[in-house]
Amino acid sequence: MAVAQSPTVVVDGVELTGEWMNFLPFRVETDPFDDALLKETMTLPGGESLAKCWQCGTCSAGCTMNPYVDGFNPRQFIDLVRLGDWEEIRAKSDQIWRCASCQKCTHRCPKEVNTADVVGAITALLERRGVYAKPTNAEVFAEIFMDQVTNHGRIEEAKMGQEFYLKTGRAGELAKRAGMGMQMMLKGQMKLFGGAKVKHWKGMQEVLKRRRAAAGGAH
Amino acid sequence: MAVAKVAYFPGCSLEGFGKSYDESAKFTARALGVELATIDDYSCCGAIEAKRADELSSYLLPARNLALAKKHMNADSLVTPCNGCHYTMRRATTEMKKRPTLVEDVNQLLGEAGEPAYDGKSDVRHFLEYLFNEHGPDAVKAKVKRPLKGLKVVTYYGCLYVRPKIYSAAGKDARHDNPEYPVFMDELLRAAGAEVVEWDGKTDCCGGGHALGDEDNSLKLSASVLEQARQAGADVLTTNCPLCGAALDVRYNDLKSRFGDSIQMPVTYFTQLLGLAFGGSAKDVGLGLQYSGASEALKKRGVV
Repeated sequence: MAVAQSPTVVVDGVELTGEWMNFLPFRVETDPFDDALLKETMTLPGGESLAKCWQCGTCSAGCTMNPYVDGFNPRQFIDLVRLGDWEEIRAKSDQIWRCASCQKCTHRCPKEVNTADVVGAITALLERRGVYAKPTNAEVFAEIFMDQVTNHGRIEEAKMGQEFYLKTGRAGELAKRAGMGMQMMLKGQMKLFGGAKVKHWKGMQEVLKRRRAAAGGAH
Repeated sequence: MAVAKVAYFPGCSLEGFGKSYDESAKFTARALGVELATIDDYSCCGAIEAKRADELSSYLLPARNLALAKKHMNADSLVTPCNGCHYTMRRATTEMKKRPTLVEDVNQLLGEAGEPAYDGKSDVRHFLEYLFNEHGPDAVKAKVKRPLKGLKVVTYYGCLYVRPKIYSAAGKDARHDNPEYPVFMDELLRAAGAEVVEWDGKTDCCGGGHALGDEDNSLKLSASVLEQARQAGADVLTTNCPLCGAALDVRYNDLKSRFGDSIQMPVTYFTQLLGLAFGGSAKDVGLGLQYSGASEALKKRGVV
């Protein structure tokens, strides 16, 4: 590669430039990379603190999911987003959503990056860019959860479970658990009728509906 | 005896899978001269799902409850026994204190919904932290009628009671528990006569947040907690989180059929153990509601 020649600068007859000013030409390889990735992730809720990361790896060292999900590595997720390596991020789409929200990474980060929320923002980015052919189970669950909150003000765990199995096409699983459901009812942990409802909720319901619609997407 | 009133936020779980935690928390508090008065018409804290859907909603939901506690009970802090609610609400109050415009935005929405406004000041305490600081081991010791003598316990704190410190303030001062090796539950149970066994799993994750979303990994995480407790030689595991209770206890049969005897470990709430030490019956503390054989294990040790 040719060395870029600097223009000669002479002041009061003394040449200030010289061989030492000649550098290899400045190169930025942008071809396979996606400049918008970092900016887009940082505008998503939870992604704001991403840029503070200095790649120390404390997050990944203590990560709960790392030993269980091959390639689950929050430090690397952040690095890839900053590089703009969309292809590599996309290749890890089935790992990234599996964060268990245990908050060890956020808790221990020496730079106060909200790592767990950043991983959530990267997941949201993957969802927004339509990477998942169908909603992940975590997304289905979150939607059922927010539907219950929006409509009733509170959630009911057992009913959430029922709806989840039905929505993910596992009615069989539900039938297998009929005995368990019966036990829960006898123990008063699940109610057949009525259930959790907030009395003064109409106004909140309207507000939440509006907010969710404005936030867009499937939520 | 004067009865102190506490603005109690049970959260959704304590009306569902965590019913025995609710009953035993109320019993334990009563024995210490405290009434856990449920905040009238409280609503869900939004958990970790609300922030996925819409950032502002994740502050709005906690703010409604804080405002209700202030309006109806003049309470500057509400007390919750749920780690999930604790995290969600501490996150909301921390962010709202940091960014006052958030309080304005939230109050705008609360106004539109016909709800009282949030003053931007009142906050959230975990029931365990409240018990430790406002009553403490000495008060527990004074009320013990039936010491938990000979009972080997591992204390399991889970994730969101101490983490992350930017919200929980864990380790900030003596009033907040140690973030990596919490001890408040240990000290209260020791005061009640139990033998607290050292182990490494205290703040491991049970996977409860992904119990449905990522069932396979979630079950493995729960199994790891129970296995460690068993290897530590405990008679029972005890926890301060209803979501951990749901993951470890309500799912016990699933775990047992998949991982076998290696995960055999009765799961209890720490309020059940304290309640028993205060002279409560198995029924008083909802012992019959557990799935993992807590009754039998405690009977064997003569605690019930």
